[in-house]
Amino acid sequence: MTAALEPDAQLMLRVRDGDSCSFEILLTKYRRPVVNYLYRMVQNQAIAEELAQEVFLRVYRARTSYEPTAKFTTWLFRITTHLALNSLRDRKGEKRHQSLDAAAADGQTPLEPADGRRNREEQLVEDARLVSVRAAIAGLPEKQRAAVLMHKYQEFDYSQIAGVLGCSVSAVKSLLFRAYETLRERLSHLAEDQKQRSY
Amino acid sequence: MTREQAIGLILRTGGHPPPNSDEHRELLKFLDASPECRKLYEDQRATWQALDLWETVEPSLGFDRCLRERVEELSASRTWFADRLTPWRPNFAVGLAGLLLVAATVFHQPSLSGPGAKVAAVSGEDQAYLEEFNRALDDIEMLSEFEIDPVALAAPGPS
Repeated sequence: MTAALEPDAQLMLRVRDGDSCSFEILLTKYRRPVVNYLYRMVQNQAIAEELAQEVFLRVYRARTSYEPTAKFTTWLFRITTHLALNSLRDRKGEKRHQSLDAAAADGQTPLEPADGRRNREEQLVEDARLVSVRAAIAGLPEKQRAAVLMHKYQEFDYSQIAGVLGCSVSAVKSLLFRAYETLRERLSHLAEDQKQRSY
Repeated sequence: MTREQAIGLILRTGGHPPPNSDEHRELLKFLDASPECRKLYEDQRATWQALDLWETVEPSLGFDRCLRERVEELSASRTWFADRLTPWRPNFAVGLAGLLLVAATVFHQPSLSGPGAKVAAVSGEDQAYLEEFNRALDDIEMLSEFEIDPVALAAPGPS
């Protein structure tokens, strides 16, 4: 019966049966996507990592009752999104996204010089572009943000996103439609740059 | 393909319909006849590329070690009873919800059988009670969905 299951679900079933190595494999495979998804949702790496730890603890706690009724990633990201949305609601009123200086002080790698050959001016321009992207995503309503992050960065299809968010596929299409439309408007200055670079 | 269909497809896919799909081919054909939609398509694709500026981060070095420690603590704190309880947890949640429903019916029977009952107007007190009841059901649903171990949650353990 397990032969027809996706490999991740099979691993999780082994975790259920007490195989800790399978949990390690799942952790190794998914910690980076989970941390990055949470980082883009909450825009703070320390909080993202704390939430990611909670995600994997919940997965581990739930192992004995795990049933592969949905794709493993759908189940995993449902837990992840639930925690991210709760964290965002808890932190409402706090500063939503960090300034360039604050982010650099927080040790966030994208704002650190990535390439020693770049001069300072190029680096500042690049940093400013990245801040624009972060701000544009942070400005999206929570569900739109979650949908677009799963679609763009996790490459989830509509039905998977619907499974994670607990809504219909048509609702997901609508969320993505509005999110991409807003991002196009807010990032139009970057988009022009991108177009010029690609010509 | 109509203009509305083209716009819908461009926007909901961020300008990236599944490659080599029929709808992508149809869209590309349509764009030759619609400069306005072509501009939208190109803008949306450029926006998509701009989003790539946000590179991934690596989890910090202590992430795995810290998680392993927490998992080990969790394993150590699990009791024989908690393990045996796990398969019954969904039934427990449903049972608790049923119990709450019965309690709500029983305790609020007098107010429903009063002279104003037929009007079916919900008083402020009833409203507050219903909200509290709904919140309890939401909590149960969430616990059930994420299979949180109430015993482990209640047990005093290392934070």
